Amino acid sequence: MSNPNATILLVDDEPNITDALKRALRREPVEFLSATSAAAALQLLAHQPIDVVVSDEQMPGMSGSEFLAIVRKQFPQTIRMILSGQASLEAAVRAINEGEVHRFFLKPCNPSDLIVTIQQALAHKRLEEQSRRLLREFQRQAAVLAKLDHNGPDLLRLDTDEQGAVVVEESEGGGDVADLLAEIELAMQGRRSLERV
Amino acid sequence: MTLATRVRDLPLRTQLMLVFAFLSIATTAISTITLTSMSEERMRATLRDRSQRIARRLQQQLQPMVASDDHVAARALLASYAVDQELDGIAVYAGNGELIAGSGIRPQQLPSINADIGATAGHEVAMADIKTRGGQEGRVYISFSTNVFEQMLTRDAWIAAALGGSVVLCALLLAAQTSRSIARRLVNIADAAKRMASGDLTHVRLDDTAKDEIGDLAHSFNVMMYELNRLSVGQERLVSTQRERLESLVSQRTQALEQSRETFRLIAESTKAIPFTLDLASGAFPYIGALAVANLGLPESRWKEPAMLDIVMPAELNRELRRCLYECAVGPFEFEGRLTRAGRVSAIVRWMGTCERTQGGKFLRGLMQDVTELRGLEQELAAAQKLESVGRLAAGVAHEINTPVQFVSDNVEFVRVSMSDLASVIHAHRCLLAEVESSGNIAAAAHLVAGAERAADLDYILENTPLAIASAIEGLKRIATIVRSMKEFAYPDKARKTPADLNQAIQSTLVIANNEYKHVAVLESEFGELPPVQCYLGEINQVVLNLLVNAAHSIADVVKGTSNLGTLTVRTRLVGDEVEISVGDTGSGIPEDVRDKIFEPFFTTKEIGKGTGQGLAIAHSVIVKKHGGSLRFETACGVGTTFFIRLPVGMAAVDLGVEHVAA
Repeated sequence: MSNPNATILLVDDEPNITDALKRALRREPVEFLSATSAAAALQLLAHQPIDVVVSDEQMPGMSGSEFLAIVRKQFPQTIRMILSGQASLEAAVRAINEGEVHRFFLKPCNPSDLIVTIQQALAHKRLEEQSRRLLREFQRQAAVLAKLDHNGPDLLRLDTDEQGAVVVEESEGGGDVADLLAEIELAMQGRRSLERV
Repeated sequence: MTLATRVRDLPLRTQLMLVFAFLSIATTAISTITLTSMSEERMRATLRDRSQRIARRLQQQLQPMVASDDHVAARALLASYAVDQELDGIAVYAGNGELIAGSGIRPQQLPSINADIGATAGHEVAMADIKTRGGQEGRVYISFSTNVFEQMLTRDAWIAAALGGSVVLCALLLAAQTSRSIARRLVNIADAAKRMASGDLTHVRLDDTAKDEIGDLAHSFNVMMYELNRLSVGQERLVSTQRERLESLVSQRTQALEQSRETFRLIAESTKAIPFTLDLASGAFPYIGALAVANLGLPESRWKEPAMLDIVMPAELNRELRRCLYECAVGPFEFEGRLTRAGRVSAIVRWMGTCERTQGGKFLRGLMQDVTELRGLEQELAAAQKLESVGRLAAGVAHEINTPVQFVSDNVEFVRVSMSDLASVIHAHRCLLAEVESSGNIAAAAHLVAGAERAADLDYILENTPLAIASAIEGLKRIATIVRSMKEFAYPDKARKTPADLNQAIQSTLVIANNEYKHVAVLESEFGELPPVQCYLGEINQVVLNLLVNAAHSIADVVKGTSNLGTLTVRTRLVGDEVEISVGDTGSGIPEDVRDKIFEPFFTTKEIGKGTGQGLAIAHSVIVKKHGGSLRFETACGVGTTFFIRLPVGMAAVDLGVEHVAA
């Protein structure tokens, strides 16, 4: 339980469901929160960052798909999932269209399936975040290079070896590029490892 | 009978003859007498005239002689006259009456000179005075015999009589002839008229050549006959034409009637319903549809025999049905009953038609229809409706079951995983125990135990395992309740009513419908003490479910989009010998304009696909028709609706038809 890598919010009007899921998934490196209604869940969301919301569909007051539609608007980064006991096409369509849910699970659902899907979704989310971050970094660096090129045109002349590869010389101005290449390599490794999972 | 009448009764010919005879005889007699008397008169006058002429001539001739008293001359003179034979007496008398001369018949002496002898029978006498200057000197006396004259007269009379007789004879002959011919012609006409009167119109032409009245009559008769014949022929032709037309019309109509009869018979017998006429007094079927004849294989003539009813509907197997037939009141009837025949053929038959009472007894006319299949289909339909509502509930029920299944399996999974964690902890403890017993490295072993316990998160396991097991047990109980309720709800319908605990049944139904109302309403239930109720429980469950679902939907329409909850009220109580079940909601109520339609089949206010409009119609049918109970509702717009079911506790008097099961 130490060092959880994600926070998951379980919403179900039946506490037995959330409690049992927590027990079944106690070994997973995630933190579970639970709420018995959409209103309570929204309050929790407002107070702390939550990576994944897994909600029941049929709840008093507000249905799961309505709740997730609100979540989508207010907390777009949160991954949304439905765990419903009722395989109603209407509810599924509403959940997908309005709540843009990531998955629609039907009760009874194997908790390990649930957690694997959650982990995948988290990895996917992290990857997306990373690629977004990298893109931002790349754009920043490109801007730096453009400015350098403008100020001293000879600075960025690249040497190539006999195979046509760029020869990077250790110099004062090349550190940033090396860092960038190293990070790209790291990201590629991460993706490969995720694909393995 | 007067003479005239008697005469009138004689034949015409005789009448004519009599008239002719009378007339001719009378005419002849009168003319003969007249002629004779005239002739006598004239002859007498002639004789008198002659005698006077002779007397005067003698007077002159005798005067001188008398004056001279010349008697001889007088005699001679007289003698010259005496040759006349008719002159049978002649004399001359002197003035003193003395006979001077005379011959033949004469008086000897005149009583006086002026004495008038007059006529004597058979003689005509004439006298003349002979006067001289000295006065009357004498008288001449002449007497003519009337014998010749009378003989002539008699002869004339005879001639006249003979002539008259022959005339009469001729007249009579002629009359006979004439009358015969007249009579014959009249008789001909009369005969023809008689023939005609008797209808013989063969055209016999009467002889009308004569131009007299009879000829005219005959002619007129001929004309009449001809016209009559012509008319009669025309009439006959007309009559025969009309008759032919009439006959062809009659045959046409008969054919049409026959055809129409056949059509109606075919129509009546074209369906599976069997038209019949039943004479209840004798038990015969004066009319029976061909299908029944074919089905039972008994010839149609057999059906018309008495006591046929006992063959097709044996009394000992069909008591209820026979009772229905015999108790059938005059007027239209319609009932249903199970028809059982020897050989275990059994069918539900619907009887409809009219019952009539005549002097001959009681007759039932109408149709009998085998509705076994229909009733089967109806049962299937009811079952289908039940399935439909179960299907509609299935999603909700699935949720109700899937939720506990989810947490039961999660909890069990936790216990399963925890068991392996516990196993490693126990293993560490056993190692510690072994070290303690062998006085080995206890501290190292205890360190391992602590590590194992930490790794297993023993506190969490110890804390959560009882909770997990309790939760699993609760979930299993819920599943068991739902499954049992399903089973109770889907109570298989029996052929007859059975006593049932309605409270238990309604609670089960509430469990099934839980998912329909639990998110929209709070349930308020109040179950009174109820005796077992004779009913078709499966159908009652169905009705209660329909009412609950309707109530839930009605509440849902009101609380939709809000966090409010409505109230669903379910109550049972005993009222007299009836059980009352009420299902109330806090929905919008039933609009006034549809209140009298809600029990009609296919009436629904729900959107397409959400309801078939059968629920309340079936509810009404089940409660009222099958159980003899009542179903009513109280509603107020904006407040809600409550339905009240009342069921008789005991054996219901009203039942569908006469579901008689032979013992």
